[in-house]
Amino acid sequence: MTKRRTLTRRAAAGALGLGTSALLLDGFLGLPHANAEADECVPPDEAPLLVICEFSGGWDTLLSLDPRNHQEFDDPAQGIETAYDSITDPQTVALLAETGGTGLYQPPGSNVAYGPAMSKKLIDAHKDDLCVVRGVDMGTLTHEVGRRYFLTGKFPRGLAASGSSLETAWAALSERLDEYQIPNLVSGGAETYNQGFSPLASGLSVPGYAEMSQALRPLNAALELDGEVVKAAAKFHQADFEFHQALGATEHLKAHRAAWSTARTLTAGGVWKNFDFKANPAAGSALDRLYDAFGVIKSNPGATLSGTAKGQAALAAQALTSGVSQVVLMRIINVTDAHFDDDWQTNHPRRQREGFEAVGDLITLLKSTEDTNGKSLWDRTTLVCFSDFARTPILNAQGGRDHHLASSCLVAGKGIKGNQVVGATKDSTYDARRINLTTGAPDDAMGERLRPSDIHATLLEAAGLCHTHLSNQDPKLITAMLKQG
Amino acid sequence: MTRCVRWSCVLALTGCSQASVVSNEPTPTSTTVPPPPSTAEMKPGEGPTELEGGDRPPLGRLVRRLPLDTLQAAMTRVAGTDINGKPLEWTVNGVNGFSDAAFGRALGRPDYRAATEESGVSTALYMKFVGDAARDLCGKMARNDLKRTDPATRALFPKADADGGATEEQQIANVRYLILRFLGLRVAAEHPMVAPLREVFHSGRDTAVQAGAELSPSAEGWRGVCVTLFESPLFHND
Repeated sequence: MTKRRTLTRRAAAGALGLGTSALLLDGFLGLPHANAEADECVPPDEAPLLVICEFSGGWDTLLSLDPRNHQEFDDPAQGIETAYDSITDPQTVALLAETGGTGLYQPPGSNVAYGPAMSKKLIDAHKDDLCVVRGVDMGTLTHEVGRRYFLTGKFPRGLAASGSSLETAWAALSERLDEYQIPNLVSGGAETYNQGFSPLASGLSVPGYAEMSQALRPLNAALELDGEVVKAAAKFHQADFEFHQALGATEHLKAHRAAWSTARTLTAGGVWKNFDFKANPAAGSALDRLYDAFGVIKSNPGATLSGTAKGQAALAAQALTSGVSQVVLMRIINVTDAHFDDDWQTNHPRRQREGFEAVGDLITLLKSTEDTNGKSLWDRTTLVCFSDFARTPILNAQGGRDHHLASSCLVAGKGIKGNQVVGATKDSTYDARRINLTTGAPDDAMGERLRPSDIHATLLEAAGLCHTHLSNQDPKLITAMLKQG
Repeated sequence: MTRCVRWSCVLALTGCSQASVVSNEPTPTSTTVPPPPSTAEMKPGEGPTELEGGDRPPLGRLVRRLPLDTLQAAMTRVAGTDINGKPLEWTVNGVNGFSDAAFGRALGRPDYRAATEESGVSTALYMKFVGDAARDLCGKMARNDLKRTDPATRALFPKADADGGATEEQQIANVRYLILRFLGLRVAAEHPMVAPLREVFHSGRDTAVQAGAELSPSAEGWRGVCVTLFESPLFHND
């Protein structure tokens, strides 16, 4: 284990003689700045795992993570129109009836009320682990910008992402890149970014489970080159020629060489066998357990896994439980950009529930899977579910909902205090409220606005990782989210 | 400039000699390095002295990976045609490997629904499928060349005998030809690119002799060079 000293803004300020004023200012404002104690940055002994689930399209949080009582908040004139009774998705309709028309699902022992499109299976099984963060200020109504802002914790420049995505930073900062064959697996079309970290931490992007094994083995083994030829080719690729210099292609070259080496290493090995999702696996095998966990039809796995949230989650589960990957970022489901009634009333709630249900299955499997030390994999896993942004609290003229700034996210896992809500939105406009970072409760007068960078810093802190790469965002630790607040 | 290199490959194939020129000594097929271009193409950090200005700002756009459509066009163009004049393509289960019906999506081609942009970075998955494409196309190139009776019409080894009797000079000439064909770079015989590519050729030829490969040992050697050049970072600059 090597200790690294990182130059933080505070250290730099101190060197310039500004440290005292910086300390005084922080003390005066009482802000728990994320960088304040990051001078020593030592990765934890065990690699922390990470799962990020993107619900693409912009989710309606009124249906799931930030609901309102339908009997009290169904008047557009009051600012929030739940319109739960307009939904035609059968399971949402059933849950609305089950909750006596309120639409709020809050099982015994839960401190959190969830909306009618939430997966009961997820809540019932894992309510004690889940922390709902409400009132996250996304600062944009543009899909790409919101998605990239949440992924990197840095507001994009125009549409272009700024900084590295969380899972890339996580893999790089853990300093365990050599222990995993695919440290960073990205699936379902999720975007991954690497700005300044080792190219080995860059995500390997695959569309889904079906393409995974194809991506990891030669398509035609008969055409494979002899090992000696590949070695000779490697020498050529590693050589520096004046053309690289003339083109100013240093970064491109570095990424290309790392990608080539990784590709050759993967195809030469047997990693693909972990992702050979064949029919009728041997009883008791890892694949059999995986199929059981996700309710896969064993004689025809594709029927359950192809193009579904369960397919994405099963791929993530296999990557984590087989020890192939440390972090997984997946676009678990497209919840639909529900501007119109045909999507919002049917597809949108159904897809949210499907996504959350797959998340629940994944947590269950990770809890029941032990690593080589005999500990549950879930003990060192962090999970985040997010979307581009939320949707407006009032239906539009088409019976759908447009884009809304104040979103929510669902987090759970290592170091995260579960069964709680942090942050809030206003009952009048559904706008984000300022919160007390220590209690997580709304504090409109003295509180802070929650931003994606604050969530990044807090999750990294909870996992024992440093977050100095976010220093230019001045992130705040949301201590209310932490078990060891 | 990077576009120059890309287009030079295409131009070289169509008979125009617009390629970037790098040579240690003049030869019939190479010319000397031209003087640095005027201020328009100076390196970052060098100031346009005649204007008495300060240092130039860094390049506004870094070299990135070429887009998938360009990759597909470039590989097909470089691979040439079969003996019947039909363009050689990377095929998987009977469809073009770059198409969305095969691995276009996996390679990151935007669908303009969920994804509107393409990554500008070489990733392991990208390189893996480029490797698959290269192995497929290079095998086809070698097999078609073996059927061609006129060496000058060959795509992969027009300068060297296919039966393994190529002299050192022929090997060097063929390596230089392939560097020009694949990368659009005209290099001298002593250029540092030549020796490692000859090593690739020798490795392929020698292992084929031992293994009794489908292709002739010499063709197998050139197939290795072909794959190496398709996978070279210089092939993927945009």
